[in-house]
Amino acid sequence: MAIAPEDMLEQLNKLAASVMGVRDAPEPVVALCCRVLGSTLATRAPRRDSSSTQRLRDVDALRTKVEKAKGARAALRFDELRTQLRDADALSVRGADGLVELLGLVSGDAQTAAPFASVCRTGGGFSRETPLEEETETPKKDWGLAGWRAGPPPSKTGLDVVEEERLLVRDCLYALQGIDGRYVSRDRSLDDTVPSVDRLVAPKLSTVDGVREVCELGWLYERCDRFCASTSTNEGRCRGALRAAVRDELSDYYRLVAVLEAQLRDEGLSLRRLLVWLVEPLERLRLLANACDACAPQDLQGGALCASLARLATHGDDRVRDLVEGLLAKTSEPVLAAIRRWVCSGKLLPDPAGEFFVQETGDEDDFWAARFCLRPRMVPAFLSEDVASKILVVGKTLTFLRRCCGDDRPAFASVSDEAFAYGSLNLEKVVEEAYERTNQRVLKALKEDFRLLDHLKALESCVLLAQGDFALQLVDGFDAAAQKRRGAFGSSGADAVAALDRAVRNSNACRLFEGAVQRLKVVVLEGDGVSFGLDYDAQPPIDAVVDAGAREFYGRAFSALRSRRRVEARLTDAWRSLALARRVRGLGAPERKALRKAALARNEMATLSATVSAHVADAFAGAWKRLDQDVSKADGLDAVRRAHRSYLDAIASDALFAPRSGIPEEGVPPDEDLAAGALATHLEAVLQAAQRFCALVDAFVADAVAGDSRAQTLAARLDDSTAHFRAAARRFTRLLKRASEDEPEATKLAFRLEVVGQAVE
Amino acid sequence: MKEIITLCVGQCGNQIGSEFWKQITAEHGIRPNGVPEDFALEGDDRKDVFFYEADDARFVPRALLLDLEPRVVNNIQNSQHRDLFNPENIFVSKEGGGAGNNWASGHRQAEENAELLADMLDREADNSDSLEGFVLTHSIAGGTGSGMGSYILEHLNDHFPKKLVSTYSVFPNWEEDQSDVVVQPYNSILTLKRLAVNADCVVVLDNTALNRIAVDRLRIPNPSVHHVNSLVSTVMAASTTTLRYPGYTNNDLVGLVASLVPTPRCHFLMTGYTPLTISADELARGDASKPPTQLPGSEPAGKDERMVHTCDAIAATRAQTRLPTQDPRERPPPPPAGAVRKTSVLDVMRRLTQAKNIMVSANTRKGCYLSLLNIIQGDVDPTQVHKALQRVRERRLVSFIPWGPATFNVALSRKSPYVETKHKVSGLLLANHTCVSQLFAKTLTAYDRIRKRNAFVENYRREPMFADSLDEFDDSRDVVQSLRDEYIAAESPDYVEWGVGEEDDAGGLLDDGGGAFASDA
Repeated sequence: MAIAPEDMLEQLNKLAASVMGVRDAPEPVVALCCRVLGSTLATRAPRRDSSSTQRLRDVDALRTKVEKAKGARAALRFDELRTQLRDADALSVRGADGLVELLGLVSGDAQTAAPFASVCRTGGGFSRETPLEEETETPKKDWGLAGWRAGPPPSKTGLDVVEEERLLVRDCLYALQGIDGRYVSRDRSLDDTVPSVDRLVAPKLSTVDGVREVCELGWLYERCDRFCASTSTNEGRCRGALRAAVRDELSDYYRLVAVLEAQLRDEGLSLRRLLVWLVEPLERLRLLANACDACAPQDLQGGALCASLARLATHGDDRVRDLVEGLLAKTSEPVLAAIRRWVCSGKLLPDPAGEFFVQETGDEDDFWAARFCLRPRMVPAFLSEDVASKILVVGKTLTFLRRCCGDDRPAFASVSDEAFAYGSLNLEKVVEEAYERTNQRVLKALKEDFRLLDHLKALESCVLLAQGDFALQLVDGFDAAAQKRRGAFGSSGADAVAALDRAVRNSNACRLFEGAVQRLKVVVLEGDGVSFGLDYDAQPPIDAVVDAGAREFYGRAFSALRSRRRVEARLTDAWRSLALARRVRGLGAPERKALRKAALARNEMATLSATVSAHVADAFAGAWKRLDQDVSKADGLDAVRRAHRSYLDAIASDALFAPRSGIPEEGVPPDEDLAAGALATHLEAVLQAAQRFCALVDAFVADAVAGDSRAQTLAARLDDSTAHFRAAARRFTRLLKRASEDEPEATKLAFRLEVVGQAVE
Repeated sequence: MKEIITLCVGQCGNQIGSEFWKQITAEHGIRPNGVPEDFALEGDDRKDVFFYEADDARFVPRALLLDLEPRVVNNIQNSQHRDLFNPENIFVSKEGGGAGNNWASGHRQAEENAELLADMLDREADNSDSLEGFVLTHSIAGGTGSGMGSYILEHLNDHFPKKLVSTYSVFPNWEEDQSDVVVQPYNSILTLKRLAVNADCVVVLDNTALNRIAVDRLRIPNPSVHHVNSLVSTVMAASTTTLRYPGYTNNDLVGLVASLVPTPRCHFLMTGYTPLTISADELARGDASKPPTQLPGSEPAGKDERMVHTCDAIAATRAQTRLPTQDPRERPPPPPAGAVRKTSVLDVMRRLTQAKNIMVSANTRKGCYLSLLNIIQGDVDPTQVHKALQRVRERRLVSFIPWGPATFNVALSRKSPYVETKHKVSGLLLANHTCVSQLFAKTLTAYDRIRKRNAFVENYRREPMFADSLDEFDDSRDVVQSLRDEYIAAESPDYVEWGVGEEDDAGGLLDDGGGAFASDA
């Protein structure tokens, strides 16, 4: 339509006013005009083939009719109006003619125009702003004549039977459009839902049933029409699409009504004939109205809307299915468009109503895990949960590639429209392919371009202190820096940073690739005194794997493993001072005896420490092997994340003996000691005892060499310290034995200790 | 990084030393002239433990080559590795007459050149950022390696008291007829005392066992010096892999030694290696260099330090190793030398417990391990280690000291990517085993046999240390005896109390402070 609705409305207003001879046409009349116009317009398409001469003849016949009925003046007005409308280019010739005829009737023939006049009088009921509440009160189960009733019998007008039927059928045609007729009108009170037979012109049951059927159709039409009319401010695309689809369906209906009107006017139309015409539309409108009702709640949006439609589509009747599928196809178009854009380029369409099942949270911290999430309600029914989550991953991966890996290629260079059409069997295939492709790309980017495994190796080497030569130097360097800091308070961590640099330079950590070394950061750990920790500043895209939680774990692991490394170093130092002390001349026999005992005690401690450390090395190697396998088998970033997570779990439980996070099996009472990570605590106690012993050894050797008399007291304390260590070691091994009943790693360590002759009770 | 300076002393020390350097230059991808291969620049090995980088990007060994006679050093300087060593680090006595198989002469000559030696040591030590220690290669039976080596041990204790001193010491063959080097027991006893007192760790390279292995395991009928030295260099290189390819543990010499030496004096380690192979090259070279009767350039017996690896020694070894009860005809036909077999962690660890792969001519079935380290090199699945340990344990293949826990470590180490080997996995055993006491016992027996007659002491009396008395002999014998006793005591559960009751024996069993340079503080 080339003309804007507002202009059209104005035009109609003028037209109606002039025809009816009043200054301002009542609004309902205009609305009615619109309605009629709509239905008449809708008939335009099939009538297009009729030649223009035919149409002219029709119009001329009409003019003659008007002249005959209302005189020359009316005929003149008719001509005038026609020209006016035609000039406005608002209407087809036919449409204009129909309208003019209608208005002519309205203004001229009082009797035939009665229903309209009543409409004009009563007002309301026809406007599109029909209050919704009123409708919802309609008892749904009475689908037949809900709200309609028959008016007084036409026979009272004294017309013949043929005319009576004509009038009844005309009223029926009005009723089809939701308009009250003279004999068939809408009962607003809703009490009288079934028309009483005796009030009908022909009290035949068949007639009542027929009118009832017609009324049902009208009622159904109203429901659909109301659905089309209801708008909300925050309306989604899908709802709009569905409304358009319903309107499309209704236009068929309008067309039919127009045809029927024409037939009634030209050839006459019996109620029976009408009913035959209405069989199919009734079925369709029933479905349509049901669909409209199902979709009526305004909070049904997007995928949820599609889902509620799809529930209706599971129907054995092909026609039902076809109709609903047709609606569904149109309704899901916006969703499919969003899917297409998301899957192909990883971008979201503007989605103010939140209709798409992928949602952007705006979380910047954990881009991969938290930035996008699924709205489960919005997943359309034609997508399985699996496909939906794959779609999420595809777009997420594309976004991730674009944002974090600098790769903004789309998933496909080109993709056929057909794949993203409704009902396409290829959609899943396309998603699957995009899933594969993007995952391969992100894996390649992570593994090859961004050297994920090298980063993880660097983390293992440096933060988990698996690189022995680095660990030795770093632990000592950090301790020295912390010591110094304690002395000169307020100094910065510069010493620790320097110690880190030194440790990297002077160990094989310098063989790690440049990028890894730069990400090592010294952090100051406040707590019981000052100490330094090591953090790994994983930049995107590596931080998708080494996320905040993982870094926190690495930080804790560093502290735990550092204290083990420290004990190892102190035990070696103690060995050195004992070895040097034996060369000192002139030591007394008691000192020599003490030295010897200390050497043997140190050997015990060193053996335990070395065995634990060998076990840890084993655990690291095993965990790494699994990680390596898992990462090479991984089919996507999520799998890589899972692999890394379980790698950390393995480190935690196998190397650190951290408490198991899992819920213990049912029926087995959890061993409270073990659950609380007692193994780690006890091991720590053992190693602390060893460390205290080492400090005593140093003091003793210094005093003994200097001939200090305190050496004897120290020797006694050495004995105490040894006893203390042994007690702690016993507690540890006992617990280990208990743990080894169901912890394979504890069994391994217990075995190793047994091999070297450490008593495991 | 922790640098290590290698000191090659005497004929034997320089020979095995140069083999060692040959081996590790190849392993690090360094050409014989010290220039690194292009492909070796980015390796994850640590070349700087044993080398430093000169200004012209050549890698120079942190090594001193010390000898009292020029022959072996000249050979090295004429070999393809002539440009490898820093010429300043080569010391050959001006007299060039050697030590005449006399420990006292070697010791005296070293003392005479004390200043020069000290300069060389200081210079090399100053060249390191954080020097960890010294490694000495020598033989204990000749004159230079034993005498001069002993002097250097004392000197190192004196001047570098904090540095670790570890030695690769070639032990002589006691069973052979001692006609030519009759004073071997004297030299050995005197050197052993220094090894016991002044060294932190001694890796025993037992000539008898090495020859036996060459004959029995490598199927070389008449192994030459080169054959045996190639075994030694393999062992030496393998024992330093954890330092050169740092891994989880044992990345510094002190840590490595500390885990193997439970009490300071029990620091004599034996080695084992599997699979033993010898390259075709070495085989050919060894055969070519083997004279029908005598080594080329070897000097008349008695005049100079006798090379320990001699044909005679080999012949004698073979006589020894083929036990009389074993009829050669009953033996299964020997597999071809260098046959390649499938290797795995378990296989390697099990073989390392077998006496035939252990390079000490002592019975390892007697006694027990004080500590044990398996260095497994190659492409290894780390998770196999545990299974292998279980098998070793199930089969009771090793027995440990009864008085306390004994370290049993398995270190996985990388293999040099630049040296092609036939086997995927190889293993080195470094172990502290009480059977080493048998070697001391043999030394003592041989010593007592000639000392009882005071035979051949005249050459010693001519040297200042023995001019007044032969007390040093007795003193050294006491140290060796107590060492042997301690190792035997370590086999019993009472070891913890051993020697404690003998504290009245002033300067006795527990007193190692008898060294000439023992520090007072």
